[in-house]
Parts: sequence; structure tokens; C-alpha cells
Amino acid sequence: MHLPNSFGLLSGLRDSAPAFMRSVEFRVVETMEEFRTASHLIYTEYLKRNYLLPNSTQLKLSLHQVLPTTTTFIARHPRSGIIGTITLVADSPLGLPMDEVYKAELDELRAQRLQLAEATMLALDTSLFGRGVFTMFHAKKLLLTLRLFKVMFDYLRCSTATDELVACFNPKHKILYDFLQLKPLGNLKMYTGANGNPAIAQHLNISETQRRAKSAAPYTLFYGHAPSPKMFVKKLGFTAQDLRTLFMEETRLLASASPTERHYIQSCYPEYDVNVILKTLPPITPSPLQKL
Amino acid sequence: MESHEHRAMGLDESLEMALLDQRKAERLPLTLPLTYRIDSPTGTLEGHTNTIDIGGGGVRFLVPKMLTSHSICYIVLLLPNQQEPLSLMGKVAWCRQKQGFRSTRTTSFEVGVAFTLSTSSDETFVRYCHFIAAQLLMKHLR
Repeated sequence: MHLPNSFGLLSGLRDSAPAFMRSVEFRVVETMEEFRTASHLIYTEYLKRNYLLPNSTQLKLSLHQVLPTTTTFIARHPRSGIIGTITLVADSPLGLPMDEVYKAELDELRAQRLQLAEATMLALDTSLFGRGVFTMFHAKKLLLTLRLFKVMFDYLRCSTATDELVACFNPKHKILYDFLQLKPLGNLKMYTGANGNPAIAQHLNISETQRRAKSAAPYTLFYGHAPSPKMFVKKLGFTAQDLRTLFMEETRLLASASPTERHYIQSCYPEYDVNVILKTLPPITPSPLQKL
Repeated sequence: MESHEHRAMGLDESLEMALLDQRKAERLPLTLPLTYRIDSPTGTLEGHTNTIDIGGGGVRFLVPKMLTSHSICYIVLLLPNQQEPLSLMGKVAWCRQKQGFRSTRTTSFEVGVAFTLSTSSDETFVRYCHFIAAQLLMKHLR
């Protein structure tokens, strides 16, 4: 498909930001408070779209977020707070979130010895834009989305060895991912992880974008000034207490991990004893019905 | 006082207002060649003209006669740098006599056509979306 001038324009995002975005910071999550706020934003926005079921924590969390190789990015406005977020999950023995539905397709890429990372949990605070606003027709929504992708891509380039960016999303967002030149990876399927909503999968080969960076306009968005790992040094690292609070006391996600997954998680946190964290699970109080 | 506080916090007041943008689709003042056919209860109107503006939801242009709302429109739009024109369908959302226009033989009515864009798998819709997105970026980044 011919995309007239589209990405030549995107290069403008590298160095300039329209006035309305000037105060918005695009960066990694640095504190637990930011992590919780971002997770709550995803929860709120996904609940509106029926992508998840309500839960008492009002957070959207997964076991993949336990891993230090999972990174959450935010758009933070000085007054409105966190107005957008996206998460990058690096492939690991825990797999990727979208393995749930696209394992065969991902395994084909893995068989080529490609290092994968999944872009997931993209959410913008829709109260800023009103209901039914289509990203492609709304400049501010579009620019916020693209800048989130850019900071994630900067991180991916300078702080990971990712070969292939993959994503799984509701087909109604396909136009946005096509605009970003992602290629088809998997057909329409029902995604339990998105509350049974339909999903499709796409991917972007990083070295291909790099090869074409100078000759093809589409990738100028991603290849401006070389990003520095220094941009990401403040990335949040969970303490043992954070893990305990978020993934045991509040969600029990750690308890749901298989022995193999627990072993891998333990290897990621050699300074903590995951078994001790697991033992902090408060005793389950029998419900009145159970008592009867 | 409020603005002083904003400045002290490094905030841009206009940014705050601009961030809260409830418009569904921004309109772009683009002049693009357009061919139309409009089927109304009083007959069919066909012609060639240029757009006055264009947006995600539809297009505005001039026609030589008053049109009824909800009339079906078939529009062929030629986008810059694209060989294949876009064939779009829509409905007349509104039509009014052009303000300040004195009756002559030339076009005298502005019509707003709302596209019936539906499926993301539709090639035409995809091309249209990418075009609008690119134009929005051009407007805001240059």
C-alpha cells in the first residue's frame, strides 16, 4: 500500500512536539505509584471496552510484569498525571502474553532464533478525548500514541536485543498498526486474555526497519537521534516488598505460577527468596457459606 | 494567580485546554479534486469540484442546488501522490446556502457529506485513514 508522505512526517516527532504535547513526558515508569497508576489506567480503559472483567484491585496485572525484563512506559502530563501507557514484555521462559492464542505463530519466529518482545497493554486516558474518538482522525490521540510507541522503540533499540516486535490487538486497531508498518502474523482469533474479544497478531522486524531507516520514510519515526540507555536508568525495579504486595497479597499471581515459572522468576531475583514471598500469602478465610 | 501558579509549575495553560479535546475528528482545510453523484428524492446531481475541507468523518464542498439531508452520495476523491482515486459513499449531513453568496449561475450551496466508513479491512477505508492521519501529523508537526 502506498502511504503518501505519511512517515516522512513522522520524523518530525523525533525532535519537535506540537504545543499541546510540550509538557507531556514520555518515559519508563520510575516508581511504584506510577506503576499502579498506569495499571489502573489500563484497567479502567479496558473495562470500558469489556476487554477484562472487574477485579477488586482495579489494576490490570499479569505474571509477565513480575519479570524485570518487562517495562512499562508512560505519557505523564504535569497536571493530568499519567494519560497513556504501553508495556514491553521481553520473551522468556514465561513466554509472551499473546502465546495464549498465537503460540504456533510465535514459535515459528523463535525457531528462526529471533528474540521477541511484545508490545502490549496500550491505553490512553479517553476522558481527554471523549467517547468514540478514532485515533487516526484525532491529532492529539494519534500523536500521544505514536510518542508512546517511540519511547518504547527507543528502549527496545538501546536496552534490549530484540529482533522482532510482536503485538496482538483487537482488529479495530489494525489500521494504527498498519500505519506503523507492522506485518500480519496471526489471523483472527478469540483471545481469552482480552475477555474473549477478537484479536489479530502483527509483527515488525527490527533489523528490517534499521536497514530501511535511511531509504524508506516509514521508519524515520523510530530512527532519529540515537537513543541512549541513560534515558532509562531510572526504570522501576521491584523490591521484595513490591512483589509481595502486588503479586501475592493483592493478586496472588505469583501463587498461580507453575514450578518452572517460579524457578525462572527466582533466577531473575537472586537477592530475594521467592519461596519466602510465596509463603506470605495470607490464609484464605473461609466464606460464610464454606463455614456452613 | 492561577496562571502564575501554572507558570511556576512549568505548565502551559493553553496546553491544558488543548489536551482536553473532545472533538471526534479534526477538519483539515484541504483542496482536493472530487467527483460526486448525489441521489436525492428530487433527482440525481452529478459534478466535479474541489473539497473545502476534509476530516475523518466526511467532506465539505460546493454544489449548485439545495440537497435533502440523508441523500446518498457517491464520491470519488483524488488524494495527492496517489494514482488510484478513492471511491467513498456517504450521506448528506447538512446543506445550506453559502453565506454572503449572491445568486448567480455558479455554485451556491455548501454540502457536508458524512462518510459511511465502516470496516477496517476495507482497503479504501484504510487508505483514507492513513491519508487523514498523515495530514493531521503534517498540520501539527510543521
